[in-house]
Amino acid sequence: MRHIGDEDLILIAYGEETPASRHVKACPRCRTRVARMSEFLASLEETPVPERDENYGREVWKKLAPRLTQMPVRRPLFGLGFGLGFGPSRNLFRLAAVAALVAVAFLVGRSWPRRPEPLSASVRERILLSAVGDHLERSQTVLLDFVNADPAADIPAGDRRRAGELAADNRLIRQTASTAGDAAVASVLDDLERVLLELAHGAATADARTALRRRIDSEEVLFKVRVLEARVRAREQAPPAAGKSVTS
Amino acid sequence: MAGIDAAAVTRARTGDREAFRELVERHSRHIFRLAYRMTGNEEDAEDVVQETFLRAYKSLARFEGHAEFGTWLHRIAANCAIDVLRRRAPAGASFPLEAVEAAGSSVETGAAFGGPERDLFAADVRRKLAASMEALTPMERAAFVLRHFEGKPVAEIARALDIRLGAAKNCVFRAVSKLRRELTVLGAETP
Repeated sequence: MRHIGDEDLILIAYGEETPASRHVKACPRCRTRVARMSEFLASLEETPVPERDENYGREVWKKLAPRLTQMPVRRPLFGLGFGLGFGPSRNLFRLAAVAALVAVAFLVGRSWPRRPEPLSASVRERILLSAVGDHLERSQTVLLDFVNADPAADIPAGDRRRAGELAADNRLIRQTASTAGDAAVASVLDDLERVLLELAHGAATADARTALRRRIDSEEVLFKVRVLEARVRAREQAPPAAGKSVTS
Repeated sequence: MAGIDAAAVTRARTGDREAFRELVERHSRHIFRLAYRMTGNEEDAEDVVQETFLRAYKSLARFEGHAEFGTWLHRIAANCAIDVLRRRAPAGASFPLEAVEAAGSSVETGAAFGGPERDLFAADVRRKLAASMEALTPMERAAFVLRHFEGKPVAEIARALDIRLGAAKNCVFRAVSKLRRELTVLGAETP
């Protein structure tokens, strides 16, 4: 008998119907697991949300109104929306924002007085490890999503955009790993980047998507990324030790 | 409310600012509650409220009325909150270690208590939950808040966050798993 997976367990404990719900009704072991999970979820009470009185909406409008003055509503154009912040313009905005940030960082770096107490190397390393761990985690989600999707269905635009953004982040991390001489990490990131780029810009046909799935499987990309994430997380939790790479 | 919204939205789409004002006044408190739950502090929540209505105003032409205006606004707010969380330090980096140390007294289970002790236990878990939420990525936090506190089904979370159903399930799963792990470390997990 195949028992329910952890994802279904949580959803069922929240009261959602999933294909595994029927199994839970018939399986005492899974019912016990669901009951324990429900008990845990019920214990998670939130910190009270600060109250906002009936005038709050008016206060929001008071602050908002001046900002709308220079901003006409964009009316529908032949039935199609063309609001800002979506589609290709979003990428352009992203690029412009990154360029501006780099420029500001450069100027600030040149003119800002040195801080008397900079972050210690171990704190910097932990922040970096945390960011790398999150990147690997997000990449796994995107890859898992693709691997589990119907090969006949095209990759949704949102997934392609996310893969493109992850590929850009991945490039920076890979280059850092290469510069630091971490060849094993750089190699895993190189495999990941090629898959992310393919997801972002290629795999336009069902055959191409099937081939990409085979490649992810045969090159064990997901497995390698998972192992790398586990090592990064372990390193993140470990007590500070100088000169240790994530592969050591 | 949906009918009243529909009339105001139609007018707002033609550039009627008074109509948009109606919508802002009607939905602000609800958006603030969501924003506070997702960001965990009032200042960020206020920013999210403003940004949500700004984006809604700019994108009114894209609202086609398939969903209720409140639901559409809810999605915009969730994504604004994710942007705010992403601008913060990486998940885990801002974890308040002092809070963890201060919360050192281990509480085994709330079920064993009653009355005032139960209230104390609940307050303790709430405090520890707030600290543990810092360990979640923005997407996990958003998915968890929408599922746990807002009671949204996972299919609606997927639509709100513009991700696939599988990814939404995975986000909720990872969030709950992390919280369980964090709360166990902090000694607040129920048996």
